[in-house]
Amino acid sequence: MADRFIRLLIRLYPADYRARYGDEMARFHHDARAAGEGGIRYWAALVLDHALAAFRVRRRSRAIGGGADRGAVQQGRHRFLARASGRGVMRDWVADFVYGARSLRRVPGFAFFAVLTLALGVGATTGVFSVLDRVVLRPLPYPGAERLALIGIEARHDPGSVGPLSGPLLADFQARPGPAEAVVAASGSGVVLDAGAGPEAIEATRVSRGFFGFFGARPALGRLLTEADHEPGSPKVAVLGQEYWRGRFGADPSVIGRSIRLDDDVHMIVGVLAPGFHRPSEIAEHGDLWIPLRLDAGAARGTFFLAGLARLRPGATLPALDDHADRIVAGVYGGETPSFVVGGAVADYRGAVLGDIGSVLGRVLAAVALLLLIACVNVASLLLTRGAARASELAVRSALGAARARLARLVLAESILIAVAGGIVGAALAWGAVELFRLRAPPGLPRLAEVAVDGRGLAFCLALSFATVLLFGLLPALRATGRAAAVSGAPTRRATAGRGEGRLRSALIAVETAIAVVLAVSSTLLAHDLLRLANEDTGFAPEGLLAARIDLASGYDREQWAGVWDRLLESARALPGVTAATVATQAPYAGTRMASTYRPEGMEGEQAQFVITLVTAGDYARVLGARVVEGRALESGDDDSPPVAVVNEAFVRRYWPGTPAVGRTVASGQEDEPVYRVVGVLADVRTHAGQEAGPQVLLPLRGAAGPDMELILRTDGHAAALAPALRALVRRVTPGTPVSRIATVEGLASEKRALPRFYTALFGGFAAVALLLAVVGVYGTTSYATRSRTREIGIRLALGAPRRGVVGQVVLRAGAVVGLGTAIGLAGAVLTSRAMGDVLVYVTSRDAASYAAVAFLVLAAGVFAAWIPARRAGGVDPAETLRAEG
Amino acid sequence: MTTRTLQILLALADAGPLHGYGIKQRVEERTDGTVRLGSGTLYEAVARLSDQGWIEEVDAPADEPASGGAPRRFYELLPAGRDALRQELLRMEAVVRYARRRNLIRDAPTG
Repeated sequence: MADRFIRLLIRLYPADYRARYGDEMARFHHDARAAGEGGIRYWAALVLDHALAAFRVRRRSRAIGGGADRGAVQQGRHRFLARASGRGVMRDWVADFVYGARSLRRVPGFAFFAVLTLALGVGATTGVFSVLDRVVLRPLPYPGAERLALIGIEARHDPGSVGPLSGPLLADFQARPGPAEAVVAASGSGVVLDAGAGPEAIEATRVSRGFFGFFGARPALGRLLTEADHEPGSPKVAVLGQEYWRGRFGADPSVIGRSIRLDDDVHMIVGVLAPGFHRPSEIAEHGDLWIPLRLDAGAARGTFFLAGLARLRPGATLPALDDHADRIVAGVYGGETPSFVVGGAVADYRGAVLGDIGSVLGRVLAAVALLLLIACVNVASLLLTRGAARASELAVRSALGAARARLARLVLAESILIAVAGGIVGAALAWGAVELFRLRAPPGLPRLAEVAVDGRGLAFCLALSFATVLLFGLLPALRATGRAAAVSGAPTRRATAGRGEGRLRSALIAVETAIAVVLAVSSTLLAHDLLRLANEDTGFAPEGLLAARIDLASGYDREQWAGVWDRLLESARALPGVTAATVATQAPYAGTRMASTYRPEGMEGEQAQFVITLVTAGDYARVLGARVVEGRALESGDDDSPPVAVVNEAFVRRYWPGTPAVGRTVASGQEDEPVYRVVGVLADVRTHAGQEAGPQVLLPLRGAAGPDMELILRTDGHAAALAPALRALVRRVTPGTPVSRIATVEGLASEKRALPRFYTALFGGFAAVALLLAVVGVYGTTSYATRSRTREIGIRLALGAPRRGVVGQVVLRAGAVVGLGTAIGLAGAVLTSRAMGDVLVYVTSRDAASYAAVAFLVLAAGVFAAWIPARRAGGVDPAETLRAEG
Repeated sequence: MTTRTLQILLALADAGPLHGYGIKQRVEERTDGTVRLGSGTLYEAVARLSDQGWIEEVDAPADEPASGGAPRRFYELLPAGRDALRQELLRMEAVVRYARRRNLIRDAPTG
């Protein structure tokens, strides 16, 4: 045991030194132990002694090799010293690189695939990572962003979400923030603005004390809000958003101090926000106009309308804030807590902002990592294959006296050339991808201007790919030269790859195929889904629709609304070019969805269901072009005596599956509210891009008319051209009524679909790169591996094997390896894509088309890659093949 | 010249051809164990001294008891080594003389 340990230590020394002194050193220890030495201290000293001595011996052998003037001292006494060449180190490296470049030129296929794989891997990975990092992953641009939390109440009907605060709750939170540093809140509401050019409906955001300071916002002009602005009775002021100031006021600096009318009150514009301010989207939906929130002492206790945000003290936890919120709610309301308030609620702000997209992004990042992994495995298997093919060349060189270190350097030079070329092309690809992204990204994407190739990401990708190339480039070379030394000079021209190497290479190809298939399937599923989204069947005909949002609240009383809508409809139908008109609470892709509680027939005893409610005039179905599935659509004669309703297919699927709906009833969830009789079923209309049309109840306008609705016109084709006529009509029929927006439904749709379309392009591109890498990798490795079997094929043919049989066998073997990898990959894809189920809307995670497409492409690439070189090898004269350098 | 080198050369000058373990024993005896030589350090020094032409490998002396296996390698001081050793000792002597003259060291009370 001790002897073996000593032999092991002696292996630290160079071989020649070992040959000369190894036995002596072993005998020395023998003597020492015979003399009674031993024990822990002896062995520890022994290890240290040999390690240091071996280091000195090795350093000295190098130092002497470098200095030519010490040749006289050497006098050839030690072979190991004579090894090092006398030439300058730099000149050696230049020679090595020239040699490496030449030898790469002899294998253009290998060089091409290796560089392409590296470039695609580095380029795609860095590009996608850079974009995601800038747009999504970077912390929100607020002080202490990682400590922000939504704060509010938990409502009985909406468990798990953070509901709005009431005025007294906010006041109490601000007075006693507890584990929070500060608490602010905001509330959006529609107002009618009159800046001297007639009324316009816009969205204003009321903000609490300290709101702008909380986000570190600064004014570009004038000032932001002060404490005094929040005092009831102080002069009313407003702050303009940067974009609104540019768009609506033409960036006029003289707006500061100007008076504007908001609803019935005169406000003075005191400031304009600086362009760097990012609206906290979760609590402030609109950023055009900001006005101070004023809470007087008697602020309504029962009105919950404020979206709250807290910044935790450093070290404070979310659960602590949650407890505090519960206490505040109990403290403010005591025993009189409204029945729907369960308690306080908090949620991590970042999680709320990222929401669903956060989980998608996690997977995209995983996919990015997988892509890089594929690229590395790809290159590794290419290099191993190349190394195996060069093994006999290196063995010959080694036998002819080339030092192992020198041979390793030759191979290293070649690897570095590949890594550098791949890195340069990859960096260029990353830059191109990011530039393309900036050109094609839809406007409004956050921080678009900041998107650039991420230096750290690029460095990481480059480092990983370099390490891979160097490791897998050198490994076979070291093994080859080590073996040559072992057989001491007899160069073996091996006809075939060794059994172990062949297995390792097959395993690598299979692994790489499997990973590539997993990634390609996931990406293809996502791309397929988004493609369907971009071309979704919406259930209605958006062409030629014109929608105007009109607000009657400022000019008419509740009893007048239905009549005014009727008058508007009548005049609109008379407009030349208009074929039909309707009024609805919501136009496709626009307006807010309103939900109310209902008890569908058969569920009377159960809890009331939240269902989207759409109040429409007659003709709604005809104007949109929605199909009537059962019964009839609402007509202009329908009103609330008797109360009738139309439901959509999704409603029937959810509550009355498989049974006729006409004639059944839906009771309102409110007490003393009517029970509606269902007169018809409409086909589902997807009015919000990328979302299922949930269950809907459509109620007739008469009896349920609201003040703020959409007037929707079906035109004979030139919808946009009719906009001025419609505006004039509204002014004529209902003078003083603001029209907040007139737009074609197609225009609204393209606005809403810009982002999904863009993501389609992004993921589609990613899927394409993944698939390309998979195909390139499988093709490159398999074809090169097959080509290195040329000699073997030649030998078999020379021995009389039938040509077709040999070629077929080679192809079959490659097909089996790729097929095995594909099968494993498909199984893995089924498992991993199950987690994508909630992201996919239009295809399922088992979408057969995506799986089949990927499997077919990868398998075809593998078989084709084996067939081409196998056929070539099989077509050559066997004698030629044998003479050729294996 | 390092202490180890000096001690190895001294051992060879003093006791004629020695094998590796013999050198170690001789050095430790004379220095009362204050200079210890591990086999790695020892042979590293031996290789270096051989390269410098100060010592040389020689056949085992006739009176060495055979211990089975291949004969041990013995090392002998060459003239160049003896010369280098003398130079070093003279240099040390000069240093010691200087130190004494400046009263930097005293003779031990019982010489």
